[in-house]
Parts: sequence; C-alpha cells; structure tokens
Amino acid sequence: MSKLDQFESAFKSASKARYRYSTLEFERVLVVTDLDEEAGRRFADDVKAFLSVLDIRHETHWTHHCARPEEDVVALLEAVETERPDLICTYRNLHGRARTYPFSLGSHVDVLCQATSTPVMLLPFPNGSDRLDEKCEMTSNIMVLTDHLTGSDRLIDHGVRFTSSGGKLVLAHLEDDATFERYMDIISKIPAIETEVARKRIGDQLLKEPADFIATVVETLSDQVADVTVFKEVRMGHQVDDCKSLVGEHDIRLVVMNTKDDEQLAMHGLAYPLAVELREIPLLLL
Amino acid sequence: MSASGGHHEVPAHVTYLFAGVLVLMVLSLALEEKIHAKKSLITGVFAVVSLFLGAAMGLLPIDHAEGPLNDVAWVKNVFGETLKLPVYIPAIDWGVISIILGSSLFVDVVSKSGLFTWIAIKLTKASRGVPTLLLTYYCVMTVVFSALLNNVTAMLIVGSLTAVSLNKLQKNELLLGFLLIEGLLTNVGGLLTLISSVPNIIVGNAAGIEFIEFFLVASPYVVVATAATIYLGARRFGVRSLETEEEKKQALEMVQSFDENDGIESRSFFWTATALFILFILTLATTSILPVVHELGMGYVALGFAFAILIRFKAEVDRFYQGIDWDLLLFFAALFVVINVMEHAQVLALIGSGLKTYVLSLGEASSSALLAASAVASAVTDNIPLAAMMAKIIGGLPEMAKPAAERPMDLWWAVVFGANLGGNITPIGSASTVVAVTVMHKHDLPVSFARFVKLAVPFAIMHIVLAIGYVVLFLR
Repeated sequence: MSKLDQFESAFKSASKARYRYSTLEFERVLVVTDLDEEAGRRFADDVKAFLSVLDIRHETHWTHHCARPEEDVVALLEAVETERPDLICTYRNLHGRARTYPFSLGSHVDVLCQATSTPVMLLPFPNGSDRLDEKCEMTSNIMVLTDHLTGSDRLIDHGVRFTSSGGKLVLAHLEDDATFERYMDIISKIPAIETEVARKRIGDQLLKEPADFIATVVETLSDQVADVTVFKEVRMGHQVDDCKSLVGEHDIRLVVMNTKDDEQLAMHGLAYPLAVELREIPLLLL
Repeated sequence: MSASGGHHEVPAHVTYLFAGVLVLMVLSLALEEKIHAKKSLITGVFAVVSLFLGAAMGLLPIDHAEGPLNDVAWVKNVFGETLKLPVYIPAIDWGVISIILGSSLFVDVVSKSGLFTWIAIKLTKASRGVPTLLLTYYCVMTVVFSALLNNVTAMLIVGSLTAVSLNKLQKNELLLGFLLIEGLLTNVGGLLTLISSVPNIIVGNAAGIEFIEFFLVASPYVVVATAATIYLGARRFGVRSLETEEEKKQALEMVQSFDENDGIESRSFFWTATALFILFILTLATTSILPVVHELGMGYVALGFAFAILIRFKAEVDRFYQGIDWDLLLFFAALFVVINVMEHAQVLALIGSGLKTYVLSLGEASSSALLAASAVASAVTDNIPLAAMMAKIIGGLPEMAKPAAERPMDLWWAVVFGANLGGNITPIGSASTVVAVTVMHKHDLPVSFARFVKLAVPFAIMHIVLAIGYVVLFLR
C-alpha cells in the first residue's frame, strides 16, 4: 500500500458525514382499506389514534378510501393522485386473495409502494373485529432500520417525526454478515492481502461509519428535538433474524425503512423480505 | 597528459573513462522513470562497475602488503588489533546515512500517532473553508512539514488532504493549482533546516554548518519566497475568497465535519509522540552545544529518538523496519561509493578545475553562476549526486583550507539553494514534485511534462532570482 493512499485514507476517514435535521409535516393522510364502509371507518379511526403524534404540531387532514372489492390498482393510484396525500396507510395483501399465506405483500401494496413517491405505512392486517391490532397504541418505540445509515437523513427525519413525546428512537444499521463473509472468503484467496488484518479493519470501518453518524444525530437532536432518546444499534448479522431480535429487544412499535431503489423497479433488497416477515409490526416504507 | 591533484597521478584517459561512467549514471538517474529501474539499482550497478574498474586499474587504496595501512580504512578493536575494512565501507558517509535512517524511522512512527493528520485537519478547520485561507494555511503547513519531516512526507500529507478537502468543498477546479503550489513549496521548505533535505545534510556536514546557523541563514529567504509563491499562485490559479454569507456558512459546515481525532488511536501515544517530536527538533537544534551528544552527532540523535519511540511498539518493531525506504538508503550508500571511486580517479578534481575555470573565475558573480548552474543541473537529474559531488569539489578548493571566518560560504549556500530550488523547474526535478504529479494524475488532472514546466517555470524563476539576490546581498 502506498503512503499516498495511506494518508488519503486517513483524511477520508476523518471527513465525516453529518446529520442535518429537517422537520416534516404530514398535512394529508390517506387510509386505504378494502373493508366495508363501517369497518373501514373504525379501522381508520384506530390508525388515526395510533398516529396521534402527527396531530401535535398541525392538524392533519385524514381521508379514508374504502376500495370496492372489484377495484383494480389503476383506480387505487387514481385515488392517490386525487388526494395527493403526504402519507398512505394501508395493510398487507390489500385486495389480496392469498392473505393467509405470509409470502408477499400483495400486488396492490407492491404497486402502491413503488409507483408513488408517497411514504406508505404498512399496518398489520385488521384483526377478527376488523380493528387495528391493540398493540398498535402509540408510536413510542420506533426503529429506523437500514444497511446504510450514514447520510440517511430523510429516513431518520421520518423516525424522529413519528416518535411520540418522550419516546425511544432506535437507529439500527445492520451490515449483512453473509455478504461480508463472501468478500472475506475471496480476500483469503489473495496472497497480497493479509486476511485477518482485512477482516478486522474492514469490519471495524464498516461499523465505525454508521456509529460516527449516529453520534452526529444524537448531537443534533439533543439541540433541536429534546424529547426523543436515541439508541444506537450497529452490528453485523443476518438482516431478517437480527431485525426481528431488535424488534423484540426494544419493544419496537414502528419500523421505518427505505424501499425505493433508484437502480431498479423492484423494492430495495432489504425492505421486501422484512416487510413480508414483520407482519405484526407497522412499517413505514419510504 | 594526466589529471593531477588529490592523492596520486592518474592518466587523463582513465579520468575521462570514469567521467564517462559518471555521466552515464547521472543520465540513467535522470531517465529513471523511462527505464523503470529504482535509484538504488542504478547506482548499485554503477558502484559495482566503478569499484571493479577502479581496482583493476589500481586506483583504489587497496593494501596488498603486510604492514602499515595507508589509505585503507582501519579500526582498532578493544585488544588493540588493527582491522582492515573493505574499501567501499569507509567510502560511505555513515553520518548522513544514520541521519536519514533515524529521522525517517522516527517520523514514520510519529505519523502513526495521528499527530500530523491532527495538525493538518486543525488547520483545515481554522481556514473555515475559505479558499484563500485554505491555500495560505496549506502552503505554510507544506513549508513547515518539509522543513521538519522531509519534502516527500510533507507532499504526501498535504497533497492527500488537499484532494479530500477540496472535493468536500466542491472546489475540485482549484486542485491543480493547490497541488502545484504545494509541490513547489516543498522545495522551498526543504531549505529551512539542515535536516530538511538530503542536499542540506550533505552540504551542511561538509561545510560544517550547524543546525541553528543553517536555520537562521535560510529562514528569511524561506519566508519571503513562501509569501511570494502564495501571492503569485493565488493570482495565477484564480484562488479567491468566498463572497456571500451563504457560501461562507456552507464552507464552514463542510470543513467542520472533519474530525481531527479520527486518526488518533491512543491519546497517550499521541501526547508521547508530540513531546518526543518537539524534543527531537530541540535536540537537533542544539546538538552542537550539547555535551557528549555533539561528539556523537546528529545521526546518533536521529537513531536515538527512533529507538526511543519504537519502545511503544516493542513487539512489532519489524513492521516499521519494513516501511524503511531501503531504496533510498541503498541509493545513498552506492552513490557515496561511486563518488569515492570518482575522487580516486580524479574525476572530481577535473570537474573542480572546470568549475574554477568557468564559474569561480567569475569573481563577484561566481556564487550566482554556481547557484543557477546547480539549479539547472538538479532540474533534470537528482540533486543528491549533485550535492554530494559539489560538496567534495568545493571542500577541496584551496579557499576552504583558510580559517573558518575567511572561507567563502556563499559557494556552499549557492549549492544548497540551487540543488533544492532546481527541483521546481521540472516534474522530475525532485521526489516531492513527482508525488505532486502523482496526486494530480490520481485525481484525473492530466499534467504532461511540458505542461508542468509551463506552469512551474514562472515560480521557479522567481525562486532562483530571489535566491541569487539573497546569496549575493547577504551571504557573501
């Protein structure tokens, strides 16, 4: 390794990304259900109560779109276009016939997430009484989850906005250990690179960057948003398993994730499996 | 016809043969990049050939008979026995080698403490991201680092930081100008102290110039040349201040996101390294007046500090030995051997007489001519052989046998200034300008040999004219 590269690496490492806080407002929220009118209204009221944090600074305008059974996805997108909401709330397998099988989100939700730029809150499927699960009381414990936290200001802004007063905001960065091991396996076959040094240095640096970024989040939020406690979870692990365990450890009530990927039409790699598997927890998909 | 002087008579054709070997070596060093060979190998091959030819022609003081050893180096062991050394061992100036080995090892370990990157980032933040301030601070830092470390390390630190910080400030269009100015200032900063560059060490040792004396003489020139370079550079490359408050606020935010503590793995080592570094500079500055130490010399000081700081890494010192620039050290060793053979072959006497005829005979203008000639010579080839050769030649002049106060010191200084500043004329003129060009290429700034010369020549001329004026007006 050349000395030029050594010094350049040192300075690049010292050049930190800093979090910049932006306040978000949700003036219009659209709740989409496929229940009958009355059940849909009750469900919408439950959602409104769950997201009462949105009404604190500004009065939010809530709209309920009760989709007819035969309504196709085009009509749903038209409804979104008409309402122009800042947030869409719905549940998995909307209009889906395979809702008892935990393998997908359903075609309507897939399209809604990818074809609109509006954040979608994916709620647990209504319970037997067509109500929102009683665990969804308030957004006290929120987890922002990603595999690339550094620079994810918008994601964190959403997490902050949905955390109720005095609540807990967990900033989680999960580095996929399977991918890491694959690279380490390749490195172990290159004589010019010392495997153990590479493992330690790369592993440390992968976790150091999000940890440093979270430190700037804590610093910024302590200045600007006093009533949120930030927790750091930066680790290497299996993205679905570790996410599930984090949800349990922190008693998480809402997970915030990125789903859009500029380079593909499909949902972001980490988001889809998590969205499918975390069926009992509300998810905010950006 | 024969060339005479020194120890013995040597036939003229033999002297010319060895002069040809020397010219060939200098040309090979100048074309180092083209022939893809390291300096140590080039000089090593020429050292082997020169020694063989010198021994075959009976030029070297190899003692074949029993009895008193004349020119051959000898040492006595504790039993009073005389030990003979191979002829190429005493040919090497071990004082110079130990200074370079010790100080490079010491600086390498200190840099692991994060001290230099800490200083560099602190200055970046102090500039508030304003380009004119950033240029000024980086230039001053280049000069100071070149003076206290060496010009290559200085360029590596400042050049890499410049690339990262200008990219962060979204001022990549200024990168070429910054790197060029910094590259040129490494050679100006290389003039500041006796240990700042190898020509300084060689000439300073030969001339008997002490650390403090060297600093006091060189510093006024370095200050003026640095200020003039920054001014000219800012104008030439359009480095301006920020105009709007919004721009200033953004720039400040960007530089504030640098963390100067990021590279510090251990606070205690950081402070130990800082204290030792300050002590190192102070000890070097006072070596000539420190009892005992002055008898052991600066090489001892450098090696002493290197081993002192290595205690911190006692179980892994081999890691630092691997980082030693063996190419540079072997280059010096081989170069000293070649020059020693050339001395025996009367080549240096031949060059010295040429110098007397064409340069020193110019009287008042002799130091100016010597400075300009040294600058031109070191622009196209390595300034170290030049300095080593000139040190031998000037040291051998009859004027240098006079009492210290009557010696013409301007000749020594002319070589020091010329050998250092000549490196600013071409991209291959010094190792630090090579580093500057490497950083430029790494960041997609295509700078050909001709373009570099075109950009650098106005600065180089200014530096050389200022140096001539300084030597003529103040050092004669």
